[in-house]
Amino acid sequence: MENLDALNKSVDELDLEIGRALSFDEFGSSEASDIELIERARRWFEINLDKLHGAVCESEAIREHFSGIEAQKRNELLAAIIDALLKFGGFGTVPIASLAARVIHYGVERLCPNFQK
Amino acid sequence: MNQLSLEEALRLAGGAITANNKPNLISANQYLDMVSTLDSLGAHFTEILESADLAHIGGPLVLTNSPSFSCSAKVLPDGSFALFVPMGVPARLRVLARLLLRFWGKESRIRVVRSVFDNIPNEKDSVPPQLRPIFLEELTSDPYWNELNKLDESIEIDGTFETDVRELVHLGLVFMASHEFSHVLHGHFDLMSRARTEDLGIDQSALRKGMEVDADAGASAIAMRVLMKDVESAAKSHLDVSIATGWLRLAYVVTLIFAVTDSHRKFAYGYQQSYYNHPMVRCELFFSSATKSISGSKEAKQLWQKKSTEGWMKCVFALNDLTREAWSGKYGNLPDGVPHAPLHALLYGAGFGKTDLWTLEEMQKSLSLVNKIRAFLPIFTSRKMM
Ligand SMILES: [Zn+2]
Repeated sequence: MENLDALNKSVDELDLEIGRALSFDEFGSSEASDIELIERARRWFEINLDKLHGAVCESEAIREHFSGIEAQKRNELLAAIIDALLKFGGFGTVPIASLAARVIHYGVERLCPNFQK
Repeated sequence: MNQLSLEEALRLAGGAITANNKPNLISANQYLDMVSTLDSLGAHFTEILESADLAHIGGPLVLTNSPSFSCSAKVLPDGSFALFVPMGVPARLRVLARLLLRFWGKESRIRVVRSVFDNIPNEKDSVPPQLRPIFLEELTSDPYWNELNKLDESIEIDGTFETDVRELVHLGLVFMASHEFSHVLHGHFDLMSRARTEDLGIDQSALRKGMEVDADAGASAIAMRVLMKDVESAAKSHLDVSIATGWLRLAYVVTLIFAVTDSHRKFAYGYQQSYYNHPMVRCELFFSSATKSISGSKEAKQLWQKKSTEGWMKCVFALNDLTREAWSGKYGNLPDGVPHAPLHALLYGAGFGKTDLWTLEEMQKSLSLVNKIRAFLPIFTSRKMM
């Protein structure tokens, strides 16, 4: 499944994809460098933490999967996060699978402290 | 489309630069110079929008806290626009201008022999350590400003060049911000949205490339106009200014800008997937568009030809001298086994030789693409252009 490829990518690779998508509807004076795109994606992620919390942290399906650290559980967790992000209405031009994998790197427990209660 | 508010877009671009968070290598006066350049440019842009009956679409022009060398234009939810100029632009222009002006009047005229038709991999490795903050973009803010500062402090240059440095930074900002403004003025955002839902008979990447060439052409004409108006109003105030020196500096700094742009991608055919042309083609297009924009006498055109050729040539000579210095190890050594390479991609060949003909051919192709695109842009079809 194509979405699962996102789990094999590093944080930098995911941020680069997110940064490229964020630049989709703007013009520049030359090609933005990879480091600039990565920085932009990081800033975007910070700005959108509240929205991501809203999208991910109410999902029972994610709550069920998040404690599973084994590889097969990570796949299920990714699918559950993708589902929650889509239900939230997406995030503009940002690719959902990359964003879901980025959330896993960030840490579901960090984004959703309510799951540990 | 999920459009960002101005505040969000600005945060994404690194936030605004203020006198309190500017990098240390930029002095308080230099910062004020940069801000007043953007302020006066904003006034020129407003005037241009008014004359095109587009006064309602204006937006902020902001210096942002990022080491990037690429400006950007964004559309905001209310249909207005924000133009962002990263601090990396004026800071790099300033440091490179200081490096290059050391050779003014002392050019060795030693030529670097290297063809744009050579495809050499990993050219990034050939930039010596201390020049990497000028020619590469690989560091995040904090380490970046430290490295650029170290390079700036190491430059030994006669203090009498400071006025030239300031004017070069000013004109460089004028040209680069005018590129972004042209995207707005020419209606590129609307065309991009149209192309997403309508078949315009032109593929998306050609459309984007055409819009980039159109923005370069617009920037050339706007920079010439802004410079002329500023010289005229300074002359009215009895200041000692001359359009000849202005043109010399504009030609010098635009060449310098294209020496920094994509400097690691020297190969002529390395731009087929890119929205931008090879910097040599972009530089040539500036000179051609700027020449077309002069509506004055034959003497004015001749003066521009003379001064612009001088500015371009002096800048290329200085870039070659900087390359020669880099090869001598002055800016640190290359890793073992990495060959020397020119620092920039402005690898001119002989007049009417293969490189020259390729550049002109690419420019012609670009101009015909621009004509195709302008047929979709109301500002050109309704003849409201300034
Ligand atoms: Zn552009």
